[in-house]
Amino acid sequence: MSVLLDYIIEKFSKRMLKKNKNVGTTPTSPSFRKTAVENFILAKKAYARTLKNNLSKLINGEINKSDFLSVQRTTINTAYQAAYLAGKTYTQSTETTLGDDERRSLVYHTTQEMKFLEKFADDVINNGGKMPYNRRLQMYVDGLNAVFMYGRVAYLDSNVDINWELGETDKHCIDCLTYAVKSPYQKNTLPTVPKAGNSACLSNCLCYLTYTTGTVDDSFINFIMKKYNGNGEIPTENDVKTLSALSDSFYLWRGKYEIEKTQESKNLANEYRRAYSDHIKTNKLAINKILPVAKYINEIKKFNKKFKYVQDSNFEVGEVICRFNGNKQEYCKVKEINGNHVTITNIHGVAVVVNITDTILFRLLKE
Amino acid sequence: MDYKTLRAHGFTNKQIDDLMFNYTTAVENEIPYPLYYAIIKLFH
Repeated sequence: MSVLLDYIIEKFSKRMLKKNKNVGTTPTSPSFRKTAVENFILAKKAYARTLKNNLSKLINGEINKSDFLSVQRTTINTAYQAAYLAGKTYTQSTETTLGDDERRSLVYHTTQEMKFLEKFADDVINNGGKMPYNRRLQMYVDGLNAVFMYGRVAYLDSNVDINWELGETDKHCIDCLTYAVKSPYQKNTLPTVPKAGNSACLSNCLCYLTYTTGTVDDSFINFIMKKYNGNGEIPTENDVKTLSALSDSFYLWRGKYEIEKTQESKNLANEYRRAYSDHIKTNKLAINKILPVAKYINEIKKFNKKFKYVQDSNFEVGEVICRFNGNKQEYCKVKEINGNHVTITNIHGVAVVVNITDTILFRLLKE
Repeated sequence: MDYKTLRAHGFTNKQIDDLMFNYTTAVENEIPYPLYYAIIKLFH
């Protein structure tokens, strides 16, 4: 019976993640992945431009609601196909066109998106809605990242463990926290992907996926999706590794400087920031040279009040502590203490060993 | 945060009660991001 059910799901489900798409496919090389990313970025740029043009025409009265919805439907479907295909070819290089089931699924997802867009069109015509229209439209554009990720994940091996990783944000919604705490998933149990609009934060979501098995790693695409600015070359995977390490070191020392106010921390922070910016400049990369600090510093200050910054391993097993990992704030539970090394359990329940000299840890003063 | 949302995510009534307790305590103690804190405290 369960075999039959699996067959029916495999054949008729609109959810691509339920299907075992990776069978007989070959994983891609870094250059193939870079091309897939380039294709996605081009598709996203064209998508943003066309959606905005169509919206301007509706606002100016050049087209009516029905024409607006018709052109937006075509635009969305075209962009979804390109983004999904880019995600698919990011994972594997065997199948380079969309299958019929995938086209059907994307039409279904386009129809779902059109329900929101119809309401949007009504708001534009009636001067309604609270959010500025361009910002609201940007949420549709950002949603394209999710379509890429659907294509990406659908072609992963079904045994790959997938973690829902919380992004750097000052407040996580209950949905994202739950997806994170219930990780890991396999692709057929993954509830959704970030920015798909299935969490309370909708496409404002800053979460991303990571993988704990095999050689699957999304640090390259996650970095590009977050930092790409369109002015220059797309970085290579090695560029991303270098920039990520420099960025983490910068935030570590910038954070320490905010707490300790030592000249050494300040110098090191400046050194890493310069190295980050120089690497982008020298290689003419399409990545923002500036590492934003305002929100990060505010968070450090916030924790420095209610929590105590600690540089020794004077923790209690089981207590909840705050850790800054790069510019990302995390709560963790202390599992084991061994000299300068503290084993902590993160939101996925995974034990991570941290050296207290290489990270920023805060302990709650009192509850 | 409401019971309906938490139930939809598969939390048991006991887990929801404990989570609400941790959340309220964290809010009273002005702990930043109380929901995140409450979830970590409850699980793992």
